Formats: sequence, structure tokens, C-alpha cells
Amino acid sequence: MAYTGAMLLLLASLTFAQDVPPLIDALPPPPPTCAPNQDPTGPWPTALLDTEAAEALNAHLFPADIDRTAKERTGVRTDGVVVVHNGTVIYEEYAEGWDANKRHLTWSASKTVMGALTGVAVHTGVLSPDDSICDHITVTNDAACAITVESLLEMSSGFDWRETYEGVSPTASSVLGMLYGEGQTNMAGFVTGHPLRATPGEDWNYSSGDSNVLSAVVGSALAESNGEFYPWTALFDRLAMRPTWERDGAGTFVGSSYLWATPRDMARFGTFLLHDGCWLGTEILPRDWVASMTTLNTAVTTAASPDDDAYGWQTWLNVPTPTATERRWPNAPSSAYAAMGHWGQSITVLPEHDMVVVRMADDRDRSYDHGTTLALAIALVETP
Amino acid sequence: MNRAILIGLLTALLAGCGGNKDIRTYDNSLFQLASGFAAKEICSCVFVAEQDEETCDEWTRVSPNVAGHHVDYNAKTVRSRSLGMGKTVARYVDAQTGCVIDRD
Repeated sequence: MAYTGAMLLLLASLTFAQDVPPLIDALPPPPPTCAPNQDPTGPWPTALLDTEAAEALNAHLFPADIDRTAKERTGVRTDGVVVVHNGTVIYEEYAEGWDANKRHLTWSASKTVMGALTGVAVHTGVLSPDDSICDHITVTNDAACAITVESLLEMSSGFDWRETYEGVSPTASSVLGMLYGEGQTNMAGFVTGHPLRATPGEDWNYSSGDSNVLSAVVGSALAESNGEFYPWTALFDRLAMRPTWERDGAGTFVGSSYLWATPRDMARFGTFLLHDGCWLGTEILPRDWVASMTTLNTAVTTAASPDDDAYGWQTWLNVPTPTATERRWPNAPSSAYAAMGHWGQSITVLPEHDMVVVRMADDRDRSYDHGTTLALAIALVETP
Repeated sequence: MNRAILIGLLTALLAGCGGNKDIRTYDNSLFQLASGFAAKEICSCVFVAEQDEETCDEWTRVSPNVAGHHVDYNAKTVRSRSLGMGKTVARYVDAQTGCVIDRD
């Protein structure tokens, strides 16, 4: 009897050994560095530089010959800038009419925040990048069920979408129709009513529509556990951010465009990404989520339709693409990445320099050069 | 009729004609888009960004400038009209939600 029992145990253990991978592979990878005091929730440590390098950055961002009252609105028109290095604010300036407490429209920089919130939903276990959008929302055109969360993150939904603001008839612009026309009452419904012009996941096409469908999907996934104001409960409150996020007529946050925040709050968000989604010792994003957000996405590199624009998941990158060998900001490292918005908004993260550069602006022409800003910001900490 | 209005009408007319049959157009008029943009963005500029009305008027000025607006500071609303054809009201809710469009 004892022998039979021992044999059964041995057989069971052999079966177990065959079904389960070796123990060494089954162990979870070590936790990422998530330092408990990487950034305070209270006032930022501030040590503003008063150096020639700071003066050079100031001259570039706030040119003395710009008339801020001129109706033409030409030239470099910076409203506010914050540079954070090693968790300390080392440069901060505002134009007349702006200060550290005023929220500024981030326009499409909102998209990167929505990309991070998607990560929060995945980390919470209520969403997967492989999910069909129809697992979470009702769509207007059933063909849209072929679209996954990942293809929305990539901007490769395949919708027949035109992201045009000027130069074509306003009534032919998908994005204007969404924000200010028939789509305003329910943006996700408006977007998912478009026919597909490409197979989802195969062709990159920058689309504010994709970001707003993503917002509806993330909202559906997160609101049940985090409430109506899930961006705050799931993320902003934890980072001590106090932004405004406007919604469409259906109550969905306009993830493409309508986040208003102070430059310091945007710097908090940039610092959060810089630390791979960790904050005060807590892992808020899945391991490698920021790495995925900042890796050139496959839809950009698709052989059939390669694109010039270096884009990850709702985030702009500084790497070459198959059709653009020069980086977006040649003076900055290829590891740099950014949330960028209309009229000059940007939150740029420079991991190699432990730096976040936030700029809020009202640029109406192409005078401004962001690469120069990044080079001058790096010089703040490299100049002896 | 001033030059801006004339340009606006011509643009709207051309937009409605849709010169290229292959380009999909939406069920929006230029006037609706213009009033929607002006009402929503001036509301946000005044009540969220706390900028003065003159600054917000300039910030939202587009060409052709076919939309006029009125800010009601007590009700925290902005009404915009485009040549009497497109009408939009944007309403400030609170510091989290900002402004929403209540189409007339």
C-alpha cells in the first residue's frame, strides 16, 4: 500500500514536471526600480539656474523682438516652460498672462496621457491590448469590431479618416466634424461609423478619432472600478495633478485634444513616464508599458506603406523610420520621446539626461525649432 | 458686406459644392463648425485657462473669421453665431470637466 502510494506520488510529480515549465522560467522577473521618494507629491524641489546656458534657453524661447499683442501672431510664442532635471525644477519661465497655476490646452499631447491611462487599465486587469474594441463599446459600423486596442494605440485602426485642419474644405475634415460638428455629441460613435479603408493594424494613419475611440474603450473598462472621474482616481490624484479634461456630449473624455494642465502638472506626467510608470514606490503601469509606448510601432514600418513619422503608442519618437533617416530632433538622443500638440505644445522626456522639458505655446507659423530647445535644455546640465 | 463675410460665404459655398467627388464630406456647414469652435474654445479659454476675453478672441480667431460670440460671466456660458446660420452655446461646468457644447 505504501509502495503504491509512493508510486502514485512519483507519477503525479512526473506529470507535473512535464506540464509546468522549469521553476526558473516560472519565476516572475524582478520588479522594476520604483524608488519610494523619486518625486514628492507636494511642491517641487526647485533650484532655478542663473547661468549663461539658462539665458541662452530663455533667448530662444522668449525672443525679445516678438510682439505678443500683434494680431499677426507670428514668430516663437512661448507661453510657459518647465525643465525638470533629477526631479528638481531647474528652469521655469512664463509669458505675460501665464503662470504656474494656469491650465493650458495641451491639444494632442492629451493623446499620450490617454496612452498611459490605457496602461493603467491593462495593469488593473480590465483591458488587454489584444481586446477587440467591441469587447468594451458599442460601435456604429460592425466592421470596426476587427479593431483591437493595440491598433488604436498605434493609430492603425484603418478607418477612412482625414486629420486635416487647414488647406482643405473644413466640411471634409474628419477631425473638425468630430470636435465641432456632427460628431461632437458622441465622438466614438461618430468615428466607428466610418468605413475601413485598410486592414486594422497594417497602416499607420494619424487620427484623433482613434484616440477618442480609445478613450471610450478605456472609460468603459475603468469607470466601473474607478468611477466617472476615472482619470483622476486611476492616475491624476496619484501624481498630485489637477488638470481639466473636457468631454463630448456622451460624457467621454476627449482623449485626442482636450486636456488642460499647468506646465508643472505636465512635468509631473513626464516624470512619471521617465520613471517607467512608477510613482512613490508604486507600479502604476504594467512593466514595459512605457517601453511599448516609446518603440516604433509596426504599422509605421509596414513594408507596404512605410511612413516618415516616428510614432509609438500615442507618443512621438526621435528615431529614424524606414523612409526618414534623419531623426526628428537631431541634437537630442534617439531615446527622447514626446507628447506633442497643436500650436507648439510638448512634453519631452530625455531619459539619458534624467530630464523632462515642458513647453506650452501659441505658435502659428513654423518659426519655432524644438530640436534647438532640447539642445539648449541639455546644455543647462552639461555646461560647466 | 465686409471682406471677411464675403470670403466666408464663398468658402462655405465652395465647401458645399465639394469640388472633388471622391472626398467624403460631413453633414456640417462651415457656419456650424465655426460657431462650435468659437463657443467651445472661448469658453475654455476664459473659464479654464483664465485668460481675458480679448486674448481668447484673438486665440480663436480663424480666417475667414465668420463667428461672433458673447460671454455671459454669470451663467458661465459663451454663445457664438456664424452669420446668423450656425449657433452654438458652450457651458462651463467645473474645474474638472471644463466646458461642454450645448448646441442650440
